[in-house]
Amino acid sequence: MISIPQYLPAPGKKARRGLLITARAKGLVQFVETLGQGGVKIISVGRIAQAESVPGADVVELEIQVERPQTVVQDIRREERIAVVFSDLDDSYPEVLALRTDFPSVPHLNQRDVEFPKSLCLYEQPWDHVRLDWTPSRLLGRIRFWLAKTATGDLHAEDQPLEPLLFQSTVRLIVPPDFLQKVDENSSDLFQVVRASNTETEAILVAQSGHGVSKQTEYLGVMFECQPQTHGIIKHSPHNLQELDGFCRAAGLDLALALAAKIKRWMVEKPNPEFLKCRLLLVLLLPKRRRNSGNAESVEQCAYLFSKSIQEVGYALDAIQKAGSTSGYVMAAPVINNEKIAALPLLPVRLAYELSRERAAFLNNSIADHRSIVAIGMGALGSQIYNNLLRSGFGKWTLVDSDVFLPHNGARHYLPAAASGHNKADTMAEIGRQIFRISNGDSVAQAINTDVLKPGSRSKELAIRFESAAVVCDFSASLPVSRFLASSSVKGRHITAFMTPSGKGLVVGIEDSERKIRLDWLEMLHYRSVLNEPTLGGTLASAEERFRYGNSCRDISFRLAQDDCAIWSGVASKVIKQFLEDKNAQLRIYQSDDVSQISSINPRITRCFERMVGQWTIRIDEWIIEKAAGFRTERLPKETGGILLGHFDTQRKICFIVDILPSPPDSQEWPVCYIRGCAGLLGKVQAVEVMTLGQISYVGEWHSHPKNVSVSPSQLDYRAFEWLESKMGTETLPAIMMIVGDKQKVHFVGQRK
Amino acid sequence: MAKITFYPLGNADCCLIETDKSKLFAFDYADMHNPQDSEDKRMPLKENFKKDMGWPNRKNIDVLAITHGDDDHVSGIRELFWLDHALKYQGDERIKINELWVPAALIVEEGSEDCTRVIREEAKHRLLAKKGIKVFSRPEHLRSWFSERELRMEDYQHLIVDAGRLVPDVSMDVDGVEFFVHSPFAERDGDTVLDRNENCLVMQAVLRSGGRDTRFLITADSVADNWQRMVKITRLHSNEARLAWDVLKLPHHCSYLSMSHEKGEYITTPTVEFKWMLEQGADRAVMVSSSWPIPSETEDQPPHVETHRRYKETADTLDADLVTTMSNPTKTKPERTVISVDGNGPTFQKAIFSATVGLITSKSPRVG
Repeated sequence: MISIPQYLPAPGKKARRGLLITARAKGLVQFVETLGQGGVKIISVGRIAQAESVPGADVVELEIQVERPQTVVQDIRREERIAVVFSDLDDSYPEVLALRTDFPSVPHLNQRDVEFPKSLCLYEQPWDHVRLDWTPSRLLGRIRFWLAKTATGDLHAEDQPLEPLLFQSTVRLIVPPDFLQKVDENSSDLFQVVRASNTETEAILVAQSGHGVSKQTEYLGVMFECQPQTHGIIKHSPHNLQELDGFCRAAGLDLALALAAKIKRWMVEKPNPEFLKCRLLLVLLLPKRRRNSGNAESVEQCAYLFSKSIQEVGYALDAIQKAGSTSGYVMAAPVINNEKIAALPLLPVRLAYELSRERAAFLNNSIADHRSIVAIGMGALGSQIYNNLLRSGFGKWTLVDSDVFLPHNGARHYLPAAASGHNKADTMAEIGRQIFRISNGDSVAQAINTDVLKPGSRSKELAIRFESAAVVCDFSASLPVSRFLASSSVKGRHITAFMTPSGKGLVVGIEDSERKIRLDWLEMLHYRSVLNEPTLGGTLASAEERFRYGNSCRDISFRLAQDDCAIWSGVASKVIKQFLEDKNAQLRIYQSDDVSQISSINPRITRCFERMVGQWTIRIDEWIIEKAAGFRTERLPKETGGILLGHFDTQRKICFIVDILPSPPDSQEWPVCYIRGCAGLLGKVQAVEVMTLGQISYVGEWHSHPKNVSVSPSQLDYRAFEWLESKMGTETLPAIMMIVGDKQKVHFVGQRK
Repeated sequence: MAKITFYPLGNADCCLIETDKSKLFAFDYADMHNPQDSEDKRMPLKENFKKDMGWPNRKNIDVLAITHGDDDHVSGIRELFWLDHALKYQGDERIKINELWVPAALIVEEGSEDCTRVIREEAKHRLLAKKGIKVFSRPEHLRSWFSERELRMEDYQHLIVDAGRLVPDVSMDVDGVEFFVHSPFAERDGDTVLDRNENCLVMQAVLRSGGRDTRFLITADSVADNWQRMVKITRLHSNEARLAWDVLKLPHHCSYLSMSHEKGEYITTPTVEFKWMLEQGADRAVMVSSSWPIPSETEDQPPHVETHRRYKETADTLDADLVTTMSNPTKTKPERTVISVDGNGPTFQKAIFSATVGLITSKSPRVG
């Protein structure tokens, strides 16, 4: 059984249709009457007469059917009686009032001067936006949507304040996200509030946490906490302390008494000599819980500003008294006089919260990620990738760079000219901390101003950071750094991201979670792709070569567009997040064309393994062996061969075998031996060197053994190996000779067991 | 989500139930639209029913239940459905019926209108073939009909469903619904058992969706006497819960004859039993009158405004939606009455306010 609804009268005086003034009210009436659709009918129309400072308004009283299921969260009826009030000035939303006398206290009501009738908060957008395409049917649709969603409890998004203020509040307070959490009973609780700016309609105040109270301050803030409640206690916007005190009592807080006690304490503590002249800002914490028992699930906040000074508030509360020209506190317990505290007007304050990492992630449509990340290189690309990830709540960062920001960097860097002359890592970390103005900002971003290859005095600190890093990002575009990171024993996965010299491509790679495939091998796979993917052929050998300032693919030209940097940093930050969701090694090579259409290639990553020849490590993967075995099968029963292409890392004595070339046409192939020819070989190798900026070149020889013959070197093979050793030895390079046999077996002449 | 659809057919019935398990149960099918009459606001049923059942992707319905054989419950069946008993009712464009449910009266009685005769022939055909049919009755009631044909009733017993039990072979797990049979029933009078032949099918369908059961009381044209007996029997067997409802189809197109023996001056006073049945409604239920719009003054034919006033009292105390098929959303352009059923129970789908929807759902005027 459900109570039969009773309704409040619609505001204003009943009037004839013809007396309506506003086009919107007339339109609404006409729409409902001429369309004659079910679901809505006009009960009455009326006028609110113009008064001194209040404009007149049209009132349309409607009965609206609500689509709601049998099981509801809120008591919304099959029909609701609604009054829509259209101000003659048309300068704000029509006010939409629910006239039922027991209309529930639900989320998304506007706070008004009085509790009933409730005012529905229909729109998220400002009126200037809503009015652009306002029609009567949209208004009715919106009202019905509001009622239907309220009935099922689906209207209210988790992050929205429950009771927005209807009237334009004249004060807005910005607070840090972790600031308004709980009240510390034992401190004086005063916090400083500074005025940031004034707009035409608002004063913008900023709460300062953990700064103490300075001598010159206009405002001071204090917090109080109510007992957990299942419903909102602030039934309407309180006009004065007496009304607010009444609301708080319902939630177990004797606000006036508590405030009097605080003021007495401040009189003793004297947070600053002039504090009595300050205006007091009152913040209430309202813990909410779903059921009548159990813990609070969320804490709402609301704030009010006294229009009088702390001294006057203290007098009214009987906490302090005038003693001659000074004031002193009252020894006796204060007696609250309702008349006096009713004479303390309150202004409602709108709250805005500083960004937290979680909130930032939510707004980025993702989830905050707390992995610790060491990023090396805060250049054009690195600074922008870091900025993208940080602003989406991704990662806790340690930035490593020894570079100083110079004026010309500004063309393509995140930092402004003000950073000129400062270390890039330091300034970028500071910016990170400023994005999230939270008390433990250090956890968001720190800097180590050093060269990762020569950390000097910072080496210990750097080592600690590396040890605890879950991810190491190499944005340095530097081969030595990449090689250094590839051979480090750090456990965290390494990621590399760099742009190709023309600025028209991006390479992003990630090691597998066990670090079996490392950055140096990913670099080689990139070269392999350049050699084998027709679309990538010219991407390293840029036409703008003369603008290169170095000789590796990462020594990118100075003439590079910021819009390309922005595009690629955006792509890179997205890919990095995706890559980290998977434990496998991955490489992706992007290119954009003349109309900025982006394509990508994912080079195949096959199992990689090593052989030792002398002091050298040979690194090779199954891709090479498959390719060699293919050439061998084509020529069987004859032997065949060719040359190996790759890279010598002479520093670490590693030979990476990246590709092989087949037998030149002038080679001689027999079932039992093979002589490699050389026709066209030089040209091919030179082309490879050009395509890879000299990173890939000739590294050795390969040949096949016939069927049913082992891959162990023959006498002939040993002799050829000696020849190769003598030639390569003059350059202090090893002789690499690979033999391919049945079942894709390979052997390197001279390999250690 | 499950769905219950009623059609605006004047004083006639067709209700399509789609369960959470995508099973389709139709209760009655009466296409009353007169294509010759441009003023006829009744919905042409054939195309709309086909559309709603998922034609042409789906070409059969699980059950067609005929609550009784009157024209306003069966008209047009022979045009739309595939009937096994005669080739002329078969073809690619016809909907197949997996199982036909009929009250015994439809089979036993002789002589009636055309449509009824066709559905009787189909029911007989299926019964004799022992396939695709359930007959609702006390089995004994059909004994003489079988013996006249020199058949043993016992051989057909599994096709006959008595009142006071769940319809066999339909289960919550597989079908997402169960049906409790209230009528037709037999009544004990001293030593004799009276079969209430005039009784049509009355069932409670329990639809399970989103982990919640929604109870739909499917009433047909039962008159007040039968309601009195039905309620008494149900309570006698402590089956009260089987008359509880979240969705109620008002019996007999909102006629006073189901509610009471008297129409009443201003408002119909229900019999004690009918009143009890109305009290079994749950808060925020949905009540549907499958009828012409409710007149403002008294009239001989249903719907009766006096009776509607009484239903409105119940609707008001329950804050229930009270819908009339021919005036939803408007009398000028009635549409389907759709009740979606999910974990929140039934939701009566209300029309959206829009001039453009009106425009694009009707023909434009001629342009030169």
